[in-house]
Amino acid sequence: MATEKGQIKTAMKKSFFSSLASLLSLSDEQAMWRVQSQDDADAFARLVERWEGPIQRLCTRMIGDAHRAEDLAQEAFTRLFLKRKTYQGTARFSTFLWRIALNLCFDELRRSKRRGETSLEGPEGEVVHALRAICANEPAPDVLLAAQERAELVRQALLRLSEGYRSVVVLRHYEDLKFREIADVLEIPEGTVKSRMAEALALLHQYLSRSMEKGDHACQIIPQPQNQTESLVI
Amino acid sequence: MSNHTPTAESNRKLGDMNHPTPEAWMAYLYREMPPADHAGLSEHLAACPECLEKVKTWRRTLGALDDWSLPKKKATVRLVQPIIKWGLAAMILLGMGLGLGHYAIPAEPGIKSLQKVLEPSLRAALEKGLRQSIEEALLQDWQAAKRQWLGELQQHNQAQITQMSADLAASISADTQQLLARFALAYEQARQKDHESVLTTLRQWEAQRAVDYAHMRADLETLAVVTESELERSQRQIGTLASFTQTISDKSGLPDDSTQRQPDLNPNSNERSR
Repeated sequence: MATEKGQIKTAMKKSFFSSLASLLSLSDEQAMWRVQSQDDADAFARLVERWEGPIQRLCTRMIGDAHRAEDLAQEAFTRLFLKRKTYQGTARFSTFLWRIALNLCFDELRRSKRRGETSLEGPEGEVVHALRAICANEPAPDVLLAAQERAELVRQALLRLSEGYRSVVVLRHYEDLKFREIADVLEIPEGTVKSRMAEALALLHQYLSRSMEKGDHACQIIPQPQNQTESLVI
Repeated sequence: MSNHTPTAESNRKLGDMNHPTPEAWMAYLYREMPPADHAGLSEHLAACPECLEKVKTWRRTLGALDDWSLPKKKATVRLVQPIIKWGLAAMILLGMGLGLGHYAIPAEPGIKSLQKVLEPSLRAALEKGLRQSIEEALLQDWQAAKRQWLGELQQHNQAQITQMSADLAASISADTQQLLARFALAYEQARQKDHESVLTTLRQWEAQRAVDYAHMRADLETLAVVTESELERSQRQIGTLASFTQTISDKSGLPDDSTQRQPDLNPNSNERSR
């Protein structure tokens, strides 16, 4: 009797922690299964909460427009819910979601191209961030302005890349996906992903160098405050 | 550049001018290769200025990419209700126990010795009671979680089985449709073939008929020409006979029946017989 009680206590402790773990972090695939099979709104809300930031950042970097990127991110989750029945439980949820978001970005880029639109505004998030930094006694405005200009150069250079190259750079460098994961998302071989990355970096180096040659003063080495690293001349 | 596996690259000797591929360098820059291969490429970098320059350029570009940063959304902290709930419960019980103990202690000079005696047993009893209630609550929670997990697992398995059955039925239906399509295609091809062979035969017959007709026409024309020439010859012969008869009659002084008009055997002929 005492042994059984002891065993029950041990089992309870283990299952308590495992159920705690499962309550704490329902995996994406488990949450998506619930959405797919039971239309579980709570599980869907968890997924949105977890992935809203990365998807919005992806869209911002792919199309270069923070406003439109917000709309696209919302559209991505709407499409995710509408396509919930097509999700294969054996595949990773993140791959499924990245693919939906990227396709929306590609469609948006094609629409913009047909309309002849270009994204003239910089990423607004960065402007707001800079304003907040000013108010919070962050680096001097001229330093921030230089940082914004550098960011704008990078944004323009990225937008000059083709969609295939840009998607690889954004997913690897900014969203920190492994090359194998990117290959799954884009449905191309891993070697192709790596070669596209190399080519994209070479093109970005060219574009940024040309921007430097045009005499953009933001490219000079600007001493940063002590808590930041020094910028490099490209 | 040739496409080398990471192992081959790491074992490559320096000085044979075989450089790692750009794909290998990307894996190197992002540390997505085995440590041994990474070390091999580092060695190559140390001895190859060309590759070193390339890698430095890539690194600078990657550094420049970091100049465009976007504000990250702060992750919201979800209250874990079970932990909070049980933590609060434990705190309330402990507080109640301490409070009861505090108010139960009489304000007498011997209170400290009483405290020394009572506190450990009170603490032990409180701890035991708290542990029991937490264990009971945990047991209930565990059973509920277990039931839920089993239910979810069952539903998940059922859904998977249903999906697999649907996929199998769809694939069988797809195979059947494929076979039907192939049969229809083969039948259509055979029918086309037959149709073409019939048309070919008919064309051949028609060609043959045309040839035969041409031959027959030629033969008929030849016959007509021959007949016409024979008729003319006959007419000439008749004319010759008539003239011969006339001559004889003249010589003998008999009336000439030959002066009677000879019948015109050829309606198309000229007045040669006159």
